Amino acid sequence: MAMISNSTPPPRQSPAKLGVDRVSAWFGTHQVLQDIDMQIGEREVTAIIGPSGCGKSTLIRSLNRMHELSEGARIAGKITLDGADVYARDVDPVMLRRRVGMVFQKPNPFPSMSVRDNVLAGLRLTRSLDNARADEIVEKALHGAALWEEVKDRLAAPGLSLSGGQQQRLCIARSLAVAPEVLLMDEPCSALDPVATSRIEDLIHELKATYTIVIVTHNMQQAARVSDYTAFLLSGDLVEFSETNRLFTSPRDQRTEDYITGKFG
Amino acid sequence: MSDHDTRSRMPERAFFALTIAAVAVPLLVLLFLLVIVTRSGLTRLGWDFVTSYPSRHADHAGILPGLVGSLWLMGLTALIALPLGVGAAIHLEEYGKQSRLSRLIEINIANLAGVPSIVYGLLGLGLFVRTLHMGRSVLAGACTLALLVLPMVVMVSREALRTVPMSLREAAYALGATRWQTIRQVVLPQAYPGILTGAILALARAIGETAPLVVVGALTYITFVPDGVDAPFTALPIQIFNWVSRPQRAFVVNAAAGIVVLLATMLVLNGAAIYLRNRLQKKRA
Repeated sequence: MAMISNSTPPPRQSPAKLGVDRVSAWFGTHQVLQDIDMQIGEREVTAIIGPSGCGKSTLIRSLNRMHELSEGARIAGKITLDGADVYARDVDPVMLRRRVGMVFQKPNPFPSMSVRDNVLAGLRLTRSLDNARADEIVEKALHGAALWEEVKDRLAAPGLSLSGGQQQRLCIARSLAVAPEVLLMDEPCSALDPVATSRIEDLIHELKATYTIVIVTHNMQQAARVSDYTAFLLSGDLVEFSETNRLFTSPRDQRTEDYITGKFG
Repeated sequence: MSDHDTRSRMPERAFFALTIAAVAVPLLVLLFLLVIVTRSGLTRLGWDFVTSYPSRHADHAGILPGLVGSLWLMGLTALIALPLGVGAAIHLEEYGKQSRLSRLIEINIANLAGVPSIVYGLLGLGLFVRTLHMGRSVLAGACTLALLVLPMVVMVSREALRTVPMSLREAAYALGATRWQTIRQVVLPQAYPGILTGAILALARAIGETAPLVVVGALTYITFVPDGVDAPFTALPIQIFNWVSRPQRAFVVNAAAGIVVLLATMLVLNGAAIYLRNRLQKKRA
């Protein structure tokens, strides 16, 4: 199979929401990403796949500037949101993160807060809120995360009293309540059972109508099921980035084929 | 086979017995102290003893100034040491980068916790009483005790902050919270129970301290209670020390009664703090 340079942009229907331009990242002296180029389309689901330690978490964490919170973390290159450089001097990472929300690997609801307060946490942390509007936001966010029917009678219960899958959807609701434009999901189902996983996957299909979604996943079937575009990362290099269908049915790179057919990883 | 089984269970049983002994020995010693002290102080224990001023006559003497003085000291020490100690811990843990300097500071704080209390007393005498002209006041005493317990408050608070999982801080940052919002609304509420435990231990140590207060100039015989932070003062352990060193047998009874009052005060303070901690924990869970 002929090697085609990965810088050839895949055909796109929608304009790029996030642009990744020659991005490299380090932890101390250890380089974890090398010259990554990607265009992430608006209201599309982009999956990032690859074996453990390939840098996919670092890549997604550099999109909302969470990478820089780690000790010794460094980044070079350019990441744009709607064309504007998010690492520009005058960009406050705090404001950026309100536009680019994130859901983590392990559900992490705030343990001291009820279901309702967890949903409102992002708003309460950052500004004051009157009660009538709060009720409306809670219901909307929980509907958005497909959790409302299950928890509407126990909004005052502690967030930790929910099941793992419900907790993860609570974390999604918490992100939605801040009204972001982009939702980053870093292996959101890796701590969940298959039933909870499929609920989150259904949810991703619904959320796509409103949000731009980037999802890191370990699970290739999941990437195939939920995403429009897929990026395959290997040891910090972007090996291939194309439409999900194409990547899984006719990969252009031998390494991609080896990975998706289970020859390694 | 059964022979082998019994032999392998021997260390198990021995260890179990050892841990029981480890619990029983200190408990018995404490019980012994309580029984002896209560029995010898019993004749003087009563409401009169708690509400009276010291006197030349042992059977009229009371512990009121010492009790009130100790409560003043506790309150002021807490007010000074807790904000400073928790503040320093937050800075070192949440803002400080892992560097050689921060490790150096950490080692130094641990060392400071081991400095003999008399040294803190001398520091307090030089700094608060003389240089800052606080005089032999309850404020000078509280400042000295605050210095004394500060390293402990810092260490325990850092430990409590460290137990808050990184994932919760990340959750807050990802929602667009600033560092301060994250600390105040996510990290501190999680760390409060641990910090409070440290505060209890620190204040329990402060209430029992005698040496630094003697150096700073707590009086042994006063017939009034402090009416402000600049008033002269005495404290429970000082009063007890004074009575024990009297030649008359009757004053030794007073000392025993004084010890019971001191222990009871400590119990009430600790009980209140533990109650508060459990309520915080319940809210958390």
